Amino acid sequence: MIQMKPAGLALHGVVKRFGPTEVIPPLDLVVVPGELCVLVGPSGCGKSTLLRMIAGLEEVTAGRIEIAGRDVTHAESAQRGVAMVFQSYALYPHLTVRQNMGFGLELAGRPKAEIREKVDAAAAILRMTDYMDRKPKALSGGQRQRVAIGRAIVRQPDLFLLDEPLSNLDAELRNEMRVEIARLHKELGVTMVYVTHDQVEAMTMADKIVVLNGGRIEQAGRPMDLYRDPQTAFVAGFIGSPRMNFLNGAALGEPSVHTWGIRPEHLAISPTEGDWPATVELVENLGSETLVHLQADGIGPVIVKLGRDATFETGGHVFLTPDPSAVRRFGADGKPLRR
Amino acid sequence: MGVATFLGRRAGGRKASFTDWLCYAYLAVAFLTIALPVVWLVLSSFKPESELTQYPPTILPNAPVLLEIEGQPRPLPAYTIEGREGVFGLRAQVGRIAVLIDPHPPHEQVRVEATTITRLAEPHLEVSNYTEPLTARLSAFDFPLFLYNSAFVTIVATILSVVMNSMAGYALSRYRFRSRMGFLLLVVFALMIPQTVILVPLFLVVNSLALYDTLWGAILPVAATPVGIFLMRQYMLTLPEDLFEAARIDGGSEWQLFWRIAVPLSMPAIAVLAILSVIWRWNDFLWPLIVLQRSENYTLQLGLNAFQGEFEVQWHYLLAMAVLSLLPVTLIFAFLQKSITGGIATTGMK
Ligand SMILES: Nc1ncnc2c1ncn2[C@@H]1O[C@H](COP(=O)(O)OP(=O)(O)O)[C@@H](O)[C@H]1O
Ligand SMILES: [Mg+2]
Repeated sequence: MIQMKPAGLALHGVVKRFGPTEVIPPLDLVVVPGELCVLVGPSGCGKSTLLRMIAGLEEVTAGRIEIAGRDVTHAESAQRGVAMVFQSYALYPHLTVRQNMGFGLELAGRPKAEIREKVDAAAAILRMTDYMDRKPKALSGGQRQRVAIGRAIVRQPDLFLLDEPLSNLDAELRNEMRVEIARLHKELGVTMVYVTHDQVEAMTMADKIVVLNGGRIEQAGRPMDLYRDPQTAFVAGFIGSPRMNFLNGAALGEPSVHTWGIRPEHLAISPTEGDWPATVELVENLGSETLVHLQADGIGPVIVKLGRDATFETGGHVFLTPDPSAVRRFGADGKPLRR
Repeated sequence: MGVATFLGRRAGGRKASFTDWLCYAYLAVAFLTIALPVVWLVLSSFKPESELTQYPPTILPNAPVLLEIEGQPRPLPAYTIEGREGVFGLRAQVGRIAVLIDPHPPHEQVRVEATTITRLAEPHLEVSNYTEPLTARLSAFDFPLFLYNSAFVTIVATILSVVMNSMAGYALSRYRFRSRMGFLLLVVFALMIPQTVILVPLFLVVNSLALYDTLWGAILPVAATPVGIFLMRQYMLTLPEDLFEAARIDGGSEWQLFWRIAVPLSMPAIAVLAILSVIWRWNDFLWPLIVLQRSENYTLQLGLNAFQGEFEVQWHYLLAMAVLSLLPVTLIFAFLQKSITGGIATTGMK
């Protein structure tokens, strides 16, 4: 049977430089055992580099990495007890699904019966039993993804690393696999570090989200904490879809506020009365919700999200009212202003 | 695809265009220049010795018609004479005068100008060109032994070549070490130096290693080739790095990464290398000629040389054995043609 003993992960002052360019400035991070930690951030912010350092595929320029309390900064990948799922899946094209999944155990010289048993168990968990003798090129994207995950499961790692595992799948499959991975995490009770640039994945899956920007941690915390209480304007803009409306404080009569933020769902819309007069520019009807793009007079473009089906005439005049308790104000340094 | 449609293939369009015709013409010329000597070789290998020196040369294998004539010690070749009925046996030809004998009594002798007589010949395959060298153990030509030597050199050199070149190619494509570029440049430079230039130093090295006049002396110096290293490196560069990283995380050692991932995925390039190596080693003449001295170490190509004696060349045996020595490589090409061209296409080698 497949059983894991989840391990904690700790990074202490980890730095990565490629020649003169510092991709990761000193960074500290703790992932507690059994947690699903999502590293999220825009493309090129150093997520993969960080993950690869944890996996031992990239040298650490400075700092210390601990897995399960053991210093592994200079340990070989294979000695770290980690398994990694690559964005490209990295399935061995010349091996069948079964051989792909059992490869790690086979290299470790485990008995055939044990390999077979574990591979079968992983295949059952992933519902891949019917495809075990196919080569990767005869599989669909979602099936390849499962094999890549299966290969990681079979090795019973203490720590799972996933680098944008869903980015090559179409939207529907992505949703399905998202649920699947979250389910696996619960069933196996394993520690996962999951990298993505998609904040929806981060919000729906994570126990803890770590928002990275330019190699630095902007904020780390539970998804709803980040949503409700963003510590920087970057996090406020990155978490939540559609993104928070950022307005100019001066235009709203608050000159000390650099960025005045309100989420689209925290604006009320009314045809007759409200704080800001606005013109409807575009209405996106998604069925269960409606996105209204407006131009607020003297303020700028604003998006409003309504949790219902609604009809507005393009070019029509309406009034907007922000929920005062939901307003987030940020200074020029991107830090929140308290008042 | 039938032969006709295969031969009639066009670049596109319903009618063959100018470029199609140009293409056909080029291919036809290329085919003829390559195929004609081989066809000529095969046809000639079935001709009796006397036919090979016949002037003007005959195309198909013929044998002269011989006439048993009473009173003559041996059969005489049959000729017709311009302006006369019947067939005559040629007894002698001295300068421009030919002396012929009528096979019918009273065996009249005829003297005519040599230009007025025409030889009679009939189709004939001289199979003994093949069977005699193979069975009769002619003094200097021990076919089974030479075949064994050739096969040994070819197979061992090819195995070594594949192993060494793919390992070198792997290191040059996967490992980042100082002077990696330097090594590669060295290999590329070595590509540009013809073998004849390094023949003497190579010989000195082989001699000082006590490999002179051994089969290993013919094998080892040619096992690692610049072409092979370059080919394997270029191919292995195209393998995705992710696979090796995944295998590393899976706990693979360096050797396992090479053996379990790089080698199976480089099979197209390895096939090309193996086939090229077989062809090179099988046809190799110059280096074995220099390094192998005793005839029991001769390869087939050197053995063929034995038919070229000091005073005469036994062309009929030489040609027949040359045809035999072509067979293995031809068969390899015929059966592995697809994987060779496929492999060359994917390795980007021409
Ligand atoms: N091997 C490398 N050499 C130099 N720069 C690199 C290398 N790998 C990544 N980088 C740089 O590091 C930054 C972070 O890359 P990466 O970790 O791949 O970002 P992400 O995965 O978040 O999109 C990028 O600016 C990238 O150009
Ligand atoms: Mg990345």
